Amino acid sequence: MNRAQWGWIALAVIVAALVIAPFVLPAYRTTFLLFMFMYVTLASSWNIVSGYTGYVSFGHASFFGIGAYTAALLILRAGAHWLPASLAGAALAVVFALPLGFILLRLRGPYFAISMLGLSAALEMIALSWTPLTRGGAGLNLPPHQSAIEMYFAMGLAMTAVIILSRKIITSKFGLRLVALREDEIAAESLGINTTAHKVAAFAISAFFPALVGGFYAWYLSYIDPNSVFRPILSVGMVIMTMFGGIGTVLGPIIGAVFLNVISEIFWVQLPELHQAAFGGLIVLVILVMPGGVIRLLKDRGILPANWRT
Amino acid sequence: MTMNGIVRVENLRKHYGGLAAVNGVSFAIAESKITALIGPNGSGKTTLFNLITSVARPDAGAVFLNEHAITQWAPHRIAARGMARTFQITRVFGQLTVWENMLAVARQRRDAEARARAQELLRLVNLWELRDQFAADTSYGQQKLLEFARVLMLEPRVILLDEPFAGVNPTLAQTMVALIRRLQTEGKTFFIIDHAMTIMMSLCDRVLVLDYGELIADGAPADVQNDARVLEAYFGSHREKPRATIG
Amino acid sequence: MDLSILAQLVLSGILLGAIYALAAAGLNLIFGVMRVVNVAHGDLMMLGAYTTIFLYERFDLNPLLSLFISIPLLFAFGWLIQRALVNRVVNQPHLMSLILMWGMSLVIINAGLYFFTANTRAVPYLTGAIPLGDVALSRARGVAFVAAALISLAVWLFLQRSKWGKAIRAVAQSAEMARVCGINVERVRVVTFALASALAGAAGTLLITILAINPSVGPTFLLKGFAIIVVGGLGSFSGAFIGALVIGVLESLAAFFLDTQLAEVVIFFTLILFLLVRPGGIMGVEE
Repeated sequence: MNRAQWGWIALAVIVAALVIAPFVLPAYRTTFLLFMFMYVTLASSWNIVSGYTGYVSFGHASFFGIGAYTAALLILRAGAHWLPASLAGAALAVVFALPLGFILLRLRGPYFAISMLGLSAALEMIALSWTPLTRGGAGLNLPPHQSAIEMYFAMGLAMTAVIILSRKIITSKFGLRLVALREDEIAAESLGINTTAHKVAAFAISAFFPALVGGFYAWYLSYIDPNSVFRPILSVGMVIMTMFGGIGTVLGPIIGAVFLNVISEIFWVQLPELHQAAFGGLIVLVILVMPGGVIRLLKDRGILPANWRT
Repeated sequence: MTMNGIVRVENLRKHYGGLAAVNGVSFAIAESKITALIGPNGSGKTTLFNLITSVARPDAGAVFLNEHAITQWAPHRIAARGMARTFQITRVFGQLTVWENMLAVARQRRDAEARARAQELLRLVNLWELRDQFAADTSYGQQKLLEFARVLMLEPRVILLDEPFAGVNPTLAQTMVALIRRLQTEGKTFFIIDHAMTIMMSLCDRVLVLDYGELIADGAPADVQNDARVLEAYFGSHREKPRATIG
Repeated sequence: MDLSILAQLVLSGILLGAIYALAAAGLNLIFGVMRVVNVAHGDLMMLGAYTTIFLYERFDLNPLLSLFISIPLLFAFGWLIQRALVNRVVNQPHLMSLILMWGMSLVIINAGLYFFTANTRAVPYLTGAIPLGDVALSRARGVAFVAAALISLAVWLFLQRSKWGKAIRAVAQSAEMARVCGINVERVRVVTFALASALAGAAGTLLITILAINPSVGPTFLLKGFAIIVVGGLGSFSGAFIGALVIGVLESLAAFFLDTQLAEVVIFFTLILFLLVRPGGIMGVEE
């Protein structure tokens, strides 16, 4: 049996294990896996815009928060079921991302990055201030959910969907053009690629899943407030997980999210300052020492093929 | 249409800081002809290319493609309409392979068509063996050839080449010359910047000379070579003719 | 609406704006010379401010005098950061330097939270105001304005007249050409970053005499600095000053008519508005 076949077998085993897990593991481990799925989804989504187009978003938590609040409000005010509410939140995030992307992506990388940083802060402020809608700092209380297992599979499916989507994109013509514009935007544009349309599309796609899992998150915790869904550590987490694993690849965000979640769990890093500081330090280290992440290291050692689509 | 040329520029002006890079340039490029754009370093040739292809915005003036005003168009639209260019400092897609560089810009309806064309072009410039190599790992000369092949993937009507022969070995340069001539007979228009005078003077039907952003000569190669203003611009003397390869 | 209130707000905004201008000038310098956006710039301001807080609380040192400490301190710190970190990513894609600086920012913020705690602090060394007709000129703001203006002038003269200043401007125009002319480009980059950090430190020191801050304010200042540059025009020293005054006044008005937190939102939307309306854009060929 060759390497690829071993790979598929390993994948099947992992999937089977994950499917059985919530039925056999204690609740807190299921919770851990659930959140890990969420982070894999977030990191993979971030990778679709920042990895594939090279436009780094520092405030991607914006979409998570938009999804969380939209879903929460639909559940509370319209009595919606959590799944359509979350899907609506995701759709709204995409609709919001289109004009936003058009404005922000017309200009170069640094403008985009810092503007996104400002966006999540601005959205948090708005959520705090628009009390009639969001109840401000008091947050929104949702009816308690019945099934952790249901949420587990919801997160798992969202994760699976975004991974498959990432792979589909990077092996498609659309993905090829995204990478081309990342490599040299002026050349790509001069050779007939509508770089604005491509960038905005990638950006809008990258907004969908964070918003979707934002909705799931709100339902799962039965409570959200501006800080919990717009907080910087979410944005930071997406970046460091993807960078660590390997930006611009399909497996990179997965590896990074899994690894960092496990590490965080083992060391039980609760203090928020230490968490952020550690991530910050890790970011610096990764950029200086292994900018291509774990995937690049594996490729350099020949463990993975040099074909960048892995 | 033939009177006005397939590409026409009218009074183009571009300033950088206090410096006039292009200072009121007007001309028309005839279809299916090979036109040269020469001039001393810093005379504004690449800036002119940038203005024509919308990579830079002119401070004044207009650009016409087939009598459509394209001055405000985005570059990708101009490329889609049939005018494409290469760059003086190569702009290949480094993290893509040579093969992927070709496919990334393909506009052919069917994939099979695109692949066939890409293969044909890569073979023509002797890059087929390197097709799986990352473009960033190829030599400068190879990148120049890749840019040349890549721009042809678009099947453009008008092709602007910015120093296509620089850094390319003479044999391959001749291959490119043969290819350019062949494409010309198929109706394509070429506008070329280069310093390889021997090649340029024999290849091109007409020569435009730029100096300090202004057009100082426009005519057949033989006439331009002996033009006093051109000699002055290059050498500041009347003794030598610009026949030796400069670049 | 009482006109004198409006005048008061505008005056406050202008006074504050001069300090923001210092910070924005630093951002501009770094971008001009290295094509790097210093995402940690706001945090450098924070460090300058906390230096002043420390010296004030420990040694009762007049904040204006602490400028003589915070400026060289941040200069040295900036030097260090450039040599150790920033220099490694100058020639890499923007992606890398952005993320690196952001990582640095996180480390600085959290170090600040650890050492200084999250409590808001201020340095109320100068209180009261001087009445000017219907308007009151806050002493602290007035003094800070003068200091900021003097420092700005000094920097401007430095850039225009001195050898180093000219070298910096040369590298900002074209690193290649500067190198050919015999300028040590690496050295210039370090000096630029150090200088910009020093300016940020000065801005922080002056700001703490007017506002209260905590270690997390960095990103807020960064956003303001960024908005200033976009409004005033990237790369333009005088543009940064004008942009700073505009942002200062805008913030002052928004804080009064809405609330302080929403003022941040207003500035953000102003930034977006200018990005929309701003001519040029991405197809400008990078020199």
